Amino acid sequence: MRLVIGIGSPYRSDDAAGLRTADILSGMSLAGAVVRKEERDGFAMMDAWEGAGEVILIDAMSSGLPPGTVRKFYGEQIRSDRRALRCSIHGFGLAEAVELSELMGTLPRRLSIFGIEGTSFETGTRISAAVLKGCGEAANEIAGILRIPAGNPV
Amino acid sequence: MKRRTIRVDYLARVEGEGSLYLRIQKGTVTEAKFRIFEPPRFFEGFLRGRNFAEAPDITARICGICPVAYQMSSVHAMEQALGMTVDGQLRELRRLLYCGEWIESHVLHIYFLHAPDFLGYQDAIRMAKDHGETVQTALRLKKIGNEIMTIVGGREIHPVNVRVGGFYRLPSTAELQTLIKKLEWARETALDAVRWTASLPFPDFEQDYEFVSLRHPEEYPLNEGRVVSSKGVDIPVREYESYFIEEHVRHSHALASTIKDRGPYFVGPLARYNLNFDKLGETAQKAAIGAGLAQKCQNPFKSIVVRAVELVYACEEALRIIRGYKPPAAPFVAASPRAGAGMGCTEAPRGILYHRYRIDQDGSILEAKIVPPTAQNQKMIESDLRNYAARHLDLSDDTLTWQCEQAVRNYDPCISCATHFLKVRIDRD
Repeated sequence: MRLVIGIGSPYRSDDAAGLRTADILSGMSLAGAVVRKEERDGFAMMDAWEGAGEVILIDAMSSGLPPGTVRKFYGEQIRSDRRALRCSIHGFGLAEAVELSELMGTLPRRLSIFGIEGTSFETGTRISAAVLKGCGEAANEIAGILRIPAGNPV
Repeated sequence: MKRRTIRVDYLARVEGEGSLYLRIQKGTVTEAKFRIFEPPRFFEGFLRGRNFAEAPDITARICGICPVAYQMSSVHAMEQALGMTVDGQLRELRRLLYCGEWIESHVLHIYFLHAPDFLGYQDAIRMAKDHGETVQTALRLKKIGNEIMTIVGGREIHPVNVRVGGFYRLPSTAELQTLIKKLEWARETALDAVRWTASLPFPDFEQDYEFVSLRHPEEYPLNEGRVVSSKGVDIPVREYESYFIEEHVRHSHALASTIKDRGPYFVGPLARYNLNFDKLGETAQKAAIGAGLAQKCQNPFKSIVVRAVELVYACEEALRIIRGYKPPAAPFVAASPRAGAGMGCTEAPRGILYHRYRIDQDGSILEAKIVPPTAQNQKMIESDLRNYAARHLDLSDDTLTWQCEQAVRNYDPCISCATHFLKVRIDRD
């Protein structure tokens, strides 16, 4: 199963970037892929991707890049650049879920993470214009990946 | 003697943001502050003007780990104000929902927040490297608690199915029975958890605590009972504010509680256990005794074992309710607004959670008061830190800091609750 999970909180401004991107993807025709949204913590993410062969995660990030920048993490990069993932409103967030899954051998065989640089994570429901643009770019890129048959190099 | 400062600016493995400061001068702990700097959240303020029926859903947002506790305390308070009684299978379903939350919360704390301290790991992920099977089992156990909350509460985080008078939708017998085999496994796993936690190395530390919890004539307390203490308090919930006083403390965004004319007190699993051992049921009692716990326990570090004992109880109680479940005629008792005031006090995973509301004839909330367990434990936490540090001044700053953090985590503090990651700072002279 090819699974796309948009992660975030709808009430923390740009932290909703992953959710918005998932909304955009849900409006596209993507045969063979399941698109979900996940607002809960890292434990719930681990449940969500259990059993999926290929998983694409989308989340807001805070790494000092210009707002709206889309950055992709594949394979070994996910292991080596955990700091960029370690930004969560939850105590047990994405980075912890990836680490724990890897230790327990439950990490999806193919995992990629799309980070969209946010600028505001304050309480609120408005996503910054630059981040919205990034959501659109991420969605187009992910759709392109999903249109390549599963198992082929990306 | 050199002044020592032990400082942790951001406590890990607790919910929310807190810090600790200790000053040690000439071999004496002269200052111990547990500082909650999580921003105040003003729930009591913005509940005013809302309808009584909204209280469970609004207050549930105070906490993502213990939303059911807020919902239960709020519905009980509103039902008292409206002169309603919810009984029978609806009452049983509320207990079942609470069991789900206890399971999920206690497992999270035992395995992911507190056990790493005892085993010398910085966090549960590092612990998982050496104890992978234990962590995997914990994840499966936690999930069962979440499933109970989803089936009965409609959602595992901030359940949406709770209302004044009962529920919006009743679970079917078939839905609940899908949990039976899982809970039977969970009960056996909880028994293993009692044995496992009992084998952890415990600092030798006891204090003469005043424990406070609910007490019910027939059951281990979840939703109902009188408020009792180990030093003579025995009152109906409506008299809570005559005995338990909240006050501002300069160094914290959370109000701190004391018993009037006495001082700090201790709420949570250890309090419940000490005051209600006889109501635990045979399986949980035997597990506790078999693990070396006496019927009374004054060592706060052994709270982790008591949480495991309560896991056994919660699994047993959930099985009892599910096996006896017969869907009632209606999912809720209808509520008609009227002017009045009501109090509710239920046992959140971390201890008693008190709500009081005053509503007008249309059901609008005029006044709200919420006293979470972690706020009630604040002064007790400071007392423990002061006394624990005083007995262990020979330890290096690093070791003393570690053990002070561990001491705070005995209380499984929910700091977001307390304001509507501990930083420890110890200054030594």
